[in-house]
Amino acid sequence: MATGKQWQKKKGVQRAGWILLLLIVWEISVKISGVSPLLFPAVEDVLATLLEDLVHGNLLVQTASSVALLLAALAISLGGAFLLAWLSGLCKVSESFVDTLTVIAHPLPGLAILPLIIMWFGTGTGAVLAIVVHSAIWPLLLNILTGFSEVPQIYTDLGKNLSMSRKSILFEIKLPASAGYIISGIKIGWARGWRAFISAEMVFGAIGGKGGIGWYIFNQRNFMDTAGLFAGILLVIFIGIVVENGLFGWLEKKCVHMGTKEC
Amino acid sequence: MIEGKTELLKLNQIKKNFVKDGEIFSVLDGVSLSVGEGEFFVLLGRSGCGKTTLLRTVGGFLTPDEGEVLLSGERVTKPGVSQMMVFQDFNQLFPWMTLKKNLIYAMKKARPGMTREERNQTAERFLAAAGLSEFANQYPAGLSGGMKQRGALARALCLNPKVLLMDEPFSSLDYLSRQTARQTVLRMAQETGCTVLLVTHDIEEAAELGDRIGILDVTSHRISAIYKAEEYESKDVLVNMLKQELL
Repeated sequence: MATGKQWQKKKGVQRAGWILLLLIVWEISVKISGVSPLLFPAVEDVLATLLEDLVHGNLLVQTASSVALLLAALAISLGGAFLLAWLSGLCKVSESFVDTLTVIAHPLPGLAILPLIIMWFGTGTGAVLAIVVHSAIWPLLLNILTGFSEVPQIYTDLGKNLSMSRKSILFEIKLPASAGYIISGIKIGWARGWRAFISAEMVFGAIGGKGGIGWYIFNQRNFMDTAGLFAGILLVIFIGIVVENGLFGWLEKKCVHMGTKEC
Repeated sequence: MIEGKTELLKLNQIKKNFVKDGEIFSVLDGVSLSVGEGEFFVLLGRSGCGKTTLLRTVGGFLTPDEGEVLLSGERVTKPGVSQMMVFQDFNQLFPWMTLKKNLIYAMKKARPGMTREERNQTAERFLAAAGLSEFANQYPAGLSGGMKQRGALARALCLNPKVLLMDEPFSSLDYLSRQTARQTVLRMAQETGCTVLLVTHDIEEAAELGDRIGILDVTSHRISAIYKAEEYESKDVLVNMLKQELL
């Protein structure tokens, strides 16, 4: 039977194989159909544009700018979610308040509150941060709260038996015990935040003078540079895969012994 | 209480009711008991007779509606390291720590006066006593149910509690693991001189472990009889007596 590591490797190889196959199908289809490069460029053109813009253009700077802003927004979301989770655990009244707040805000799409955000934060970095934080904080909070509620009573009983304070039980027992849920929350928060981020960049344009991947894609459309547009989309996919499989994969490996479920 | 032993744990007329669907159910109705220092007391009863409720009340996890629990003459009002619990569920070791770190962490929290070296040596000593030295650096996920229970026992005893409270700790184990775990708890309790209050529904287990065995009656919700193991010529005779009382 394959071990976890072998299975992960096998899964990675399988994925790479499928991606390669899709690229080959794409290339052959374009060559056979003779479709206009303005509608569907060949893979080689897309990769050439991507390489050119990364090396000689400012796509690398724009990407770095996007990722940095996104990480900042996720850090704010994580901090906010923990603060609300702590507030929820204080007493029944605060629990009810946080629950109501989540019920109201979680289903609300970020783009629905875009006009309000533009009025309150303008169209700069603050607005993008607000959109991403709104998209990421609620699924994060829900997962943290679920994680806390799923911590076996036996662990908290043991904490009480060891005369630990409520704060120590929260940080030293509940937090590691719900690590699996928290990581799932971060993954969902990241996915929602990433989507909202690219959309926001397309709406708000160049943020802080550097732009971002969303702005890059939007601009390529304006100049009818379809190969560049595809290059931007490929970059978004690539970053998504790297974060999902690289960063989160590493995080999951680190906490394999934590929590109440295999994470 | 066994003659010659100093009284350590005293339960005075403990009453505990629960409300379910608007109805009040009496679980404990005036339970009184005295347990001496170093004694192994087993509380035997059918399922649902209130054994766990009584143990959690002694542990300070539940407050009695009436009556009091005294440990060394002091009233128990909350959980604490003086009355350590070993629970029924064998997943009670923290899964994010190795076995040894589980012991060290417990000592760090409950016995802050101990030095790092003392904690380390104590953990090794108790793991050796529980027959778990070679598994010290394993995570709980890699241990069998019996090993986990012995690990939980080692963690509780390394804190030097006044009384060890055990809630059917071996009921989920297979026959062989149960035998090993019983021998381990007997040996470790004797070596440390720790007082033990164990609840179980297993008659053989009660006869094998207890210096005295109390029967918690499912109808009256009180201790209906107490048997001294030393008064019976063999374990089999005691088992038969307990069966007659309980069945």
